[in-house]
Amino acid sequence: MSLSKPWRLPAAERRTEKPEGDAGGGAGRRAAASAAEAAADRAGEARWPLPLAGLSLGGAGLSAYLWQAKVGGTELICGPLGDCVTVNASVFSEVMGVPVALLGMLMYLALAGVLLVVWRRPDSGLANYGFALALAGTLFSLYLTGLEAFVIGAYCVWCLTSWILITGITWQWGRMLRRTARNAH
Amino acid sequence: MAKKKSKSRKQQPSMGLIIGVAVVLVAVLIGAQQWWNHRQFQNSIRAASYYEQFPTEGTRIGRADAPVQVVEYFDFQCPHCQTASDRIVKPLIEQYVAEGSVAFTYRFFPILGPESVLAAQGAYCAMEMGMFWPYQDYLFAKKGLGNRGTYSRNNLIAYAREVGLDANAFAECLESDRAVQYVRAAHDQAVRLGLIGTPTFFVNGQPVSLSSWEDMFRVVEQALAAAGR
Repeated sequence: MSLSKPWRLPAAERRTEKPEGDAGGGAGRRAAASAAEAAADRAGEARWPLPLAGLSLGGAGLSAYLWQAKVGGTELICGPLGDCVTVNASVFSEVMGVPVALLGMLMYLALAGVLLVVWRRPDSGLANYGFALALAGTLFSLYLTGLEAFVIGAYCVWCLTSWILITGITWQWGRMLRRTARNAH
Repeated sequence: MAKKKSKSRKQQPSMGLIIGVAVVLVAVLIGAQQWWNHRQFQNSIRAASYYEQFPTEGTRIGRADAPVQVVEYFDFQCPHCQTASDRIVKPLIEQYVAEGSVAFTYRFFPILGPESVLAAQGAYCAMEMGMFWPYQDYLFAKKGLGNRGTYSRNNLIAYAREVGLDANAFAECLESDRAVQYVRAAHDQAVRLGLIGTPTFFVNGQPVSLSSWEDMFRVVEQALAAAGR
């Protein structure tokens, strides 16, 4: 239960499959492959949740900043690129009166929470829902970016950064699911 | 081996399901946003048709020869002006302007930063295009404060489009010298009158000191009584 426990979701999920694999014959070649995969986990794959957690918390921080700027808690600094002030105040910056930035922050925090649960309980099945949430976030960000380009006529550099973050999270999460599914075979 | 295959078959619909959940979630969000924005648009259309029943000229609503003339110097980003729009201006129009006893005039006094000036220029352009009243209603409903983008150039153009104005003509006007000059002249006139804040009300040329929103209606009643109405 220590916090220094390494992130080992794929290996942990494979462990739940191992008895079936062994029951299939326990061939030396399969055992060697399994050992090689475990070694790969230790070498690189085992570290995947750390960047994913970092991206999620980074996205939550970014969304919190945009949300606070939207409700007047802080000044929005756009830099030389685009016009984030216009985008963050446009009619598309809310969904039924709820700031999109607040929804984004809740999504990123939910992703971080799901990640934590999946880390502690690899067999919880929540990884799939985390991926669904991240994919929804990516698609909605894509829609908002389209609005910036074709309807609002202004770009928000922070919103584009958030789109890149959530796309990265979805890609990472998808890779993790694919790896888990491959290992389950 | 058979067990493995059955397990992998079980995972396939699961992936389809999670992609479906994501797509449905996004569709619901987009649908909710579009529906809400459409409702806001319908409200602005209703506001536009609401003001059509009153005689208007520029920033004045009500008959030019009404016995009581109320004037307000205002700034779109001033929170008290936003409250006054709901607590004073709308009831005045509803109760007094409708019966022809009062005419109400807005005068620009943008003192709270660049977006106050831009919003005033936008309202001037709407006035030029004969839509000042629905446009000011729309701007006040946004309740923008502190130059945070609510009344940025692009948003003012978007709001103009939403109240039914020609966005290209509006954008051209917003950047024109005449809009800048009009708002500057209005500001300078308020300064010459010695005004230092907003909202400042005048009833028949006399400044009104308000300790509550209801005071305005008492002053209007007194002015009406003095005019024999």
